[in-house]
Amino acid sequence: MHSVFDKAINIGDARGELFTLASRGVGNGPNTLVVDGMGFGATDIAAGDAVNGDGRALDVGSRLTVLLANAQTWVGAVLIYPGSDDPVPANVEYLRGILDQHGRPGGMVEEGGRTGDFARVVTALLKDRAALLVDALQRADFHGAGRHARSMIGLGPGLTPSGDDFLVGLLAVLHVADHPCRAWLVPVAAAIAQAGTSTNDISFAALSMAAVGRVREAITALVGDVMHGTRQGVAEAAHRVLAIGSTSGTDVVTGVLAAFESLVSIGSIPGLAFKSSARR
Amino acid sequence: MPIKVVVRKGSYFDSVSLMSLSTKANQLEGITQAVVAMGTEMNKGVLRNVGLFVPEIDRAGSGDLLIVVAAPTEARCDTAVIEIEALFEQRQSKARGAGDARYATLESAVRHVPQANLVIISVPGEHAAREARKAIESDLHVMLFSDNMSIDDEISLKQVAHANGLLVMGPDCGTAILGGIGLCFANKVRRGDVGIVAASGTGSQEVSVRVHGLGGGISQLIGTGGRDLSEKVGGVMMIDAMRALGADPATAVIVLVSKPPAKSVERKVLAEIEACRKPVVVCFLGGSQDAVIQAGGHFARTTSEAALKAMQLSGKHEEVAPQEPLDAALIETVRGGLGSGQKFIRGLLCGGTICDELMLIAREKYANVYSNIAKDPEHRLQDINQSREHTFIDFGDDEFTRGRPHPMIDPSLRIERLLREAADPSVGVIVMDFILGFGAHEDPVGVTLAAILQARQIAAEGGRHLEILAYVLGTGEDRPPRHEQIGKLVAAGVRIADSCTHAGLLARSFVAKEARS
Repeated sequence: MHSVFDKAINIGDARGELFTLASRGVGNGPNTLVVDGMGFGATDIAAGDAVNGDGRALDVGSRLTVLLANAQTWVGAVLIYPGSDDPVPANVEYLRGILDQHGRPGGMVEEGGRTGDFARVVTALLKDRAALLVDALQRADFHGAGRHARSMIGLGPGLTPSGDDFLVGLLAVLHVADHPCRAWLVPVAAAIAQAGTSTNDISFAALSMAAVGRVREAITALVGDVMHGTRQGVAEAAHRVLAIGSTSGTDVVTGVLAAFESLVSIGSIPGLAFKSSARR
Repeated sequence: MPIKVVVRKGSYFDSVSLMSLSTKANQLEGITQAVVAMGTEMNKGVLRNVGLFVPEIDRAGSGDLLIVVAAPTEARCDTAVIEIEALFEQRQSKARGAGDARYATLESAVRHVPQANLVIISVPGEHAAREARKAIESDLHVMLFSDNMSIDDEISLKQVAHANGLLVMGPDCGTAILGGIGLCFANKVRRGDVGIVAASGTGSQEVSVRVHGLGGGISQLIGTGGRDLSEKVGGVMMIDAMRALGADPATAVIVLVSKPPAKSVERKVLAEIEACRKPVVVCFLGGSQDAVIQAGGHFARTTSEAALKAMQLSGKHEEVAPQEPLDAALIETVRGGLGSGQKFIRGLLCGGTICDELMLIAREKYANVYSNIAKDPEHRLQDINQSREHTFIDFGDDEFTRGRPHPMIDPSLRIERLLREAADPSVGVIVMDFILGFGAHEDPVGVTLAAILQARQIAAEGGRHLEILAYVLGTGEDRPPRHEQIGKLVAAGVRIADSCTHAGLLARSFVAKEARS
């Protein structure tokens, strides 16, 4: 047992890969088993507990048994970039409006009012480095892009630092099949592969999965709705992602937007430019 | 400026908690700044840049949590760190849950509560046998609230339990009182010397509250599950429970409550009655008295009679009080208010045994009595949603509760049916039970009142008076108390029966079209 939270527990195997048991409401995701009923916060499960399984049941430190007989496999949707840009430009603008209005400050979005030096500097650094990363990608400066991506890993507040969440959102879009800028994946994925101990295990697990195109279902749904959906679909999907964690959802949406908005450089989506988050 | 650092190694808090803790930390009086962040190289770099770095920060790795506090004085730094650590501890305690500890597995519970000798199991039926087996292997008695367990599993479990001197109450056992403690659905009744063994939830509840109402009390109430007296299961638990009560110094009289057992099982039960040194009252609804009397038992035709006989046998009543005659004037009044076409009773019940007893009493006078739980196919409703002549519905039966809570918890199906029956011009009286006690709805009458008033209105618009007769199963110590629930019903113009038996007798009298029965 690696770590225990109220709605999820993480199990680490001998190779260091993390697997998550999540209670209903957390949603599907890579390496995640959604279990019925209970949260985990009030159980006796603790980090270090042994976990054993035989294909029929998972025994967690003799404190929890998960029966697997009725488990159903979740397969994430495969997204394909639209042949025509409609309705992408309008949906991207709409998503930007949602982020500006509902994004939670403290990570990629600046906190208004009285804020300490640390928080202010962190947000400024995150925005600057994200802008530098996108700029480098647009100029096909993959060496620079890798450097800027590395500079975001582990930066920011939260269990999953804001920089990591931004990259997850960015990667979720770049992995879309037939994406015109799929080559941008290379430096970003390489930066993650070299991240080593730059961030904590849980965030690194999410980054590693995102680097190979595997993200939470809510994030895939948002990307899909931006490319193919209605405004209502975009709004619903956006709010589901924004609700993740404290600023994590906001930081992910910022990454998603950065990926879509940066396509202006190759004229794929005319009329858009990458914008940093508005001041609150 | 003084800076203090706390490194919590391998400490994972979710982001919402971290943000909340960071906000609270920064709101502490007299500190300049507090930072709560993971100890990544990037975050450490920012701490250096903003002048919050001290060497101890380098002890933190990416998986560690950093708490950095800057304050005008060392002393304030020290106390602020203590306050922030306390915030973390509070957060962790809240996550663990205050009050009773919860254990996610049987093994864990057994380890942490070694003094327990009983397990209540309420998991989906296909998994219940496994858990019950583990409990028996841990030398624990079992109460199986779960249903949908295979009969083979039930037989196997009960045989093992019997061999080990343990009880398996169930499956589908919803009521027990052991050592004065009500388990699952039970009423708050006085402790006394009447022991009950029942293959019937509401039947045992009814006997227990009747005994309480007569001034007596219950030593133990052991449920056996509805199939225990079937030929296959063989009455294992009923026999074992009778022996347990026979040996229980707190029990003076034993009462058995059930539908009539399978013939082979009846013989075993009668043999046990014969061997028992304590008086045994037998209330097998619809059963015959001869064999019981021959075995030395005391036959009771109804649950009220069972309670009365138990009290007499325990020496609390010098003689069986004669059954109070029904209030003739009341019956005449109600009959006079019904139209000539209003001939039928509709019983809308939550309790299976209550439904059985009302049906039995109606059948003593009328042949055309139907139900969703009638054993006789000729009197079983073809369509459970369509009443026919005298109809008694058990809303707790599987067909109504599949995927839905029991009507004692969710009355919505019964309410819908009430309004439909009210529109039927052939209906003279609707009988309803309201079951109080542990596990029941917090206000069974309150939640039904609007529908009762609407039902009477529907009948009134059709030019009819509709008699609604209610029986409230409970005691003054239940929550809500019985008298409070009765008060609400009376205020709504509902007629009140004193017991299940009384409700059955009144209902059949109200719709009788000849001279008083």
